[in-house]
Amino acid sequence: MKKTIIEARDVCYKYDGTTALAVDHVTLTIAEGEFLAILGRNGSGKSTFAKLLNALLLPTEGSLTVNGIAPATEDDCYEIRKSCGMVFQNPDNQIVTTIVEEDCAFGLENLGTPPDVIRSRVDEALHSVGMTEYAQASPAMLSGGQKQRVAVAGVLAMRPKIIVFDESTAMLDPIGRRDVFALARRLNVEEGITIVWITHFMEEAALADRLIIMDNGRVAIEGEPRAVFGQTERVMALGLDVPEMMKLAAMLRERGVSLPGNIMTVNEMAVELCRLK
Amino acid sequence: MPIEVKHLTHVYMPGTPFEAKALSEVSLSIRDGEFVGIIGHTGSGKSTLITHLNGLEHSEPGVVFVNGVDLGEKDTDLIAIRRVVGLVFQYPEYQLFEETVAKDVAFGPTNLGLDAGEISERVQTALKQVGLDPASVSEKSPFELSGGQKRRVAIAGVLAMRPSILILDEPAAGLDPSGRRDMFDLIRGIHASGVTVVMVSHSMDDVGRLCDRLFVLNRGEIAYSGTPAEVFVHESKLHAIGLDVPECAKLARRLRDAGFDMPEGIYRTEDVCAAIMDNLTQKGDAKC
Repeated sequence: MKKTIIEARDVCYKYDGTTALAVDHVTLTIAEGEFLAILGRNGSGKSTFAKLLNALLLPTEGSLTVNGIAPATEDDCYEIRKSCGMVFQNPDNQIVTTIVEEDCAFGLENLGTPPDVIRSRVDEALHSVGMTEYAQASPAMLSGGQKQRVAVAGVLAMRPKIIVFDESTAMLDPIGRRDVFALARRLNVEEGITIVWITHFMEEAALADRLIIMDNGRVAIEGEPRAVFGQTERVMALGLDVPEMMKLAAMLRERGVSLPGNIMTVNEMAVELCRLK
Repeated sequence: MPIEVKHLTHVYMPGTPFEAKALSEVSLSIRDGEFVGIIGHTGSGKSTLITHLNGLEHSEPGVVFVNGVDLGEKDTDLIAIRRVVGLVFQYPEYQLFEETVAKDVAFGPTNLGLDAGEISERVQTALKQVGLDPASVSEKSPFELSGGQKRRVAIAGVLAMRPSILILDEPAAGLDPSGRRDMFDLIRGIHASGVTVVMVSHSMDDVGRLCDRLFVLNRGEIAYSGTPAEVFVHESKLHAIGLDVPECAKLARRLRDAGFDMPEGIYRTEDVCAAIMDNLTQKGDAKC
């Protein structure tokens, strides 16, 4: 049994001046080293939940522990933010300086980290995201995917145990998207960082260890991606989509072709069809 | 021909260390009532190209024509061109600024100097066209609306100018799957009403489903053009320039390689499904 790193029990959040709960009694545990994807239509509570995870918002009800800390005081919040980093949708909102390496150092500088430690951690972080050669560049001259990698480096320099990606690929082109997703996967596998990956892209969610679909602030479906997407009609009714091959499999089944229920990729589909012919 | 581009080359910041060639010898023509897709990865020149089409970027004489008018000629009335060619930028909701939805949509028509009755008629029609109920949203602040609704208001603002050509830059970016479906239905509706549509996208899936014809840009040049089926044939080359073909097109190719009889260039889920059924009912001896 893996160690739990995030534990949410009946967590609720209500924004001031609204009546509905944005996050409505979410109970969820996330294991250390897990890669968890969260899907859900706009307004389903995904981003609010993300902000609860690094104490940008505090639950209005219920209990939440992140890396063993339940945020009660302001100091707790700072501790949580050190262990749980966040990468947002628009890198332009997250990058604050005019030189890449200074941007990565920003968090550490604010903690009063000694300069030599900052130097080594920033170098390491930029190396890890493959942006070493851009250390002296201006973020304004980078592509969206590169900016997002710089944002990840800034988070990595803080040596977090968890990184929450809140639709971090939404504004990127296909190459940038692939790069940033692959980076998150590598940090997860090689460095054991727990990843919470919030997205609108089914093909990314399909590659997670576990998938949660949120709707109206609640966890609507939870499970291994194949099992979740296998509930095609339910997923579609929640305003989402399923991978193309699952749709095709459903169409073929309707026409009497007998196919296993867990086909998700082109490769799997090709192999099954060849077997049938 | 509503849009004609002949050998368009564009260099940003010429003569500086940041000099960058964004477009090189691009030629294309778009016919009346067409639904055209422009696809390419970041930096391929898509945005530079579309800003030339309504005169936001200046071109040399004899290069860009809209309804036969040369946008490079000194005496061309670019304001008139911008009424004909509506441009919806990426994340257009960031451009909303007025106190109410109705005022925001009315901004363009008001600047045209139309009378109040005509303006309000245009605002109502445009809001209906984008699927919003004028009675319930007109007096709201645009900032009270959801992301998808804001985007619709921004598009309504362009439609209120009654353009005959509409250019949209990544209209579905950042929307959730049902929001994307709604947005594409909306654009299909605008196209069906007789507007020529040019859609810029990263997604082969989306342009494949919607467009009659595609232009694939790579490093400022047109790499491929034609119907989606004609373009998707270049699967491996598209992959090399950072673009993907739809999943079903990939499957069709895989199956063809394995001895299935799959028609060239099919990519729609329904078509691929039908072709597979034909193969399975015939029973050949495929190997995988």
